[in-house]
Amino acid sequence: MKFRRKYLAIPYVVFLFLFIIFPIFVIIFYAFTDSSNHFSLDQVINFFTDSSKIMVLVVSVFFAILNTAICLLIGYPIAYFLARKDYNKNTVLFFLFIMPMWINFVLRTSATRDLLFLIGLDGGHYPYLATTIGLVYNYLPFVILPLYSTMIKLDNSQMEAAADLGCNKMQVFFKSVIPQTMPGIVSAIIMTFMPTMTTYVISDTLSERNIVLLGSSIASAFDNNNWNSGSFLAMIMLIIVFISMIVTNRFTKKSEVSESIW
Amino acid sequence: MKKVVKLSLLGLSLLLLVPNSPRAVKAADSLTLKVYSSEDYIYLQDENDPESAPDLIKQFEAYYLETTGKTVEVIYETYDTNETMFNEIKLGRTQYDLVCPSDYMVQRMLGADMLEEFNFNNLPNYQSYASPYLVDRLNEIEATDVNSGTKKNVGNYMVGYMWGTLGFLYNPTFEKFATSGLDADAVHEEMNLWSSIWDAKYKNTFQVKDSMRDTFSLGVMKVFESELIELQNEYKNGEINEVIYNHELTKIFNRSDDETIDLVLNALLELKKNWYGMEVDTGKSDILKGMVGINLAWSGDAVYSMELGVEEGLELYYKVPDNGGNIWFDGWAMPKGANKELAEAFVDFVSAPVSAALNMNYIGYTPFIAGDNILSLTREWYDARYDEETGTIDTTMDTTDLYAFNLDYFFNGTLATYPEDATSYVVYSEEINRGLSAQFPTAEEMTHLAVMADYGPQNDAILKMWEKIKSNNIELWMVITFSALGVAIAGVLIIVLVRRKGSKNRKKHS
Repeated sequence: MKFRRKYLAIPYVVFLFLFIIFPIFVIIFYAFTDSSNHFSLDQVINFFTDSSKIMVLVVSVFFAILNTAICLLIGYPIAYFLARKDYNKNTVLFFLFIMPMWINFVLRTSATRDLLFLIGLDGGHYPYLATTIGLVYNYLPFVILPLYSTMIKLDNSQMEAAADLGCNKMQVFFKSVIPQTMPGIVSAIIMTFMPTMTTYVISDTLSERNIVLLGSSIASAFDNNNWNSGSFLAMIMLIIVFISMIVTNRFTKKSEVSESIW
Repeated sequence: MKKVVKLSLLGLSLLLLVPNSPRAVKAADSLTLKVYSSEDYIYLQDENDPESAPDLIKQFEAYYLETTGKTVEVIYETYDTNETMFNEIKLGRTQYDLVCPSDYMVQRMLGADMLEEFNFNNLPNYQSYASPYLVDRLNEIEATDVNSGTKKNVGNYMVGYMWGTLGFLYNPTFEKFATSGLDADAVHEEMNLWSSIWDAKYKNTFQVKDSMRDTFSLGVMKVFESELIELQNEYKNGEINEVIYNHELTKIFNRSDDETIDLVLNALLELKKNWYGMEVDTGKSDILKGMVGINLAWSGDAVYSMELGVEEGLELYYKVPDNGGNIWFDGWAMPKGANKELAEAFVDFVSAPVSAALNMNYIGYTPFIAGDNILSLTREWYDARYDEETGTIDTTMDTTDLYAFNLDYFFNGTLATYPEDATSYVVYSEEINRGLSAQFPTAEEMTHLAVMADYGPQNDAILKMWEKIKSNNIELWMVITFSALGVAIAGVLIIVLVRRKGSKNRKKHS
């Protein structure tokens, strides 16, 4: 048999089938069956009639939007300054912002819990605040990194040209900087929005288990031997992933996604 | 592309075939015993002290080689909850020889006909040294096979390993108690009632367990508290004897009908507004950090925290309110298809008092096994008369100011010499509601402890209730705000998309 270059793809194709395609079918199978493996729509009815599950979804979406917005608001200017040579002469500052990513987030989160208790913002008293702080802390690097990688390629001459042609500073920002960094913004949103909905270590630890996000709801369904309900929730999540992918794809069609590192 | 798919399918099927083959090879030349239990639930050698006894598992392997001439390899795997273990056994991916579930889980497994029966003739150590009192209590638990309806005795399918209670672990001098006008004496007093923590005075000062059964039982005890106190008074006044008392108490404790579930749901939702949070593993250290003043704790964890507290100069206490509480048993059980002979040999080995003492020292829970080793270890830890230098008990010491703990009920019938005088079982301690109380409830306290059965068919309803408690109980206006926000964002996105499409189309036309 002659060696062909495409054979190099075999390990990944195997991996793809075994760990991505196959599990999706398993999830769909369990979502629409009952405990004796017969087809049933019990989970659909359960989900839409159970206010506690809807509450979990609503709060998860809320946190996902809030966290993405805050991370972008904080991360965008930081990435800009980090990428500008005149503000950040060596890359030390950049590494300071990225460093938390190198420590496992479970360890980091239990340390955050102690820190928040120390300064009096503990999850027992302020579950929503503590969880938000923890989420922003954890996802900020994921926003800064893709933004930074697009911002180091910012075309200065385009911005100067815009200014020369009569744009004020605000207009330069909205008409030149934002469009140039759009791929970075999109991948920052992808990296933050969905993972936030499914995080559960952060919300469990920092809210003292007073707030339940979709991720921990799924985990506890499986813990309690309720595969069908857990799978249905996981499927809801998959649907949201697909919707958000379609939306973000629309936004990036014109600009080149390949420029961002993700 | 088709070829790539075919090749990868081949690779995939190869991968799937692999896991089955090595087992067949292994079985032929050496014995393996697969034990499935909780983490840190069996004695391990102290790494810093090479002279300490070797791991209990290694001791068993050596013992088995010596007595039978066969080599055995013990594989110890761990799970985090009884439910995880149940799933794993039910899926049947791995054949385990021994598991270590709690009483209610043995009931559930027996209901599904998943266990082998023990032959107690192969368990001489267990027969001579297990506390007869506890064995009796274990034998009182019944299970019903779901399919055939036959009744089975849990005591025949489970060999007791550790046992304990659920109660309040508390710090009477917690800062916040003082600021809300609670002095230490008041806290001691109020920790004798489960309903105390529903009081606004305790707002944000306590944690409960993120564990359905434990927190449900807390709710049951609060909801039926007046009934429990009435029953307790009848017993105190001598209107009913202790057997009937415990029987009636257990009945109330095990209520799980729909009406009870509703009442408990409301009680726990109310409690949620008061609690600091839920935990399953951090509670042991949170109370030491000063995060909370009260933790709903298992007795063994409480012992651990109290010991650490001593090192940090913090006096913690443990109390099970005296109008009712939970007693639980963990024990060995053999899933269907287990190597019975080998499993029984292992169970009997860990049931020897020497092994049990090592376990008690290492795990911190109270073993099922009594016997001289356990009594002397208990004295070494708690008896005020114990002299560290000589290692003996000073029987001439004046004990008038000490608390006397009569452990007759636990040890009677298991000691090498059977003292006729009950005072020989007494441990005198300077402290009450501390380590010794947590490890050995007195005989009197035992009468108000109840075993919590498996919920059976009501399990799903309770699970639903539990989801409601754990879910985000936000106000209606918040839901409306969140939804409005979501709709607004979706609307903006759609408008932007439509406009883009429009502008593209226009470009195409021009």
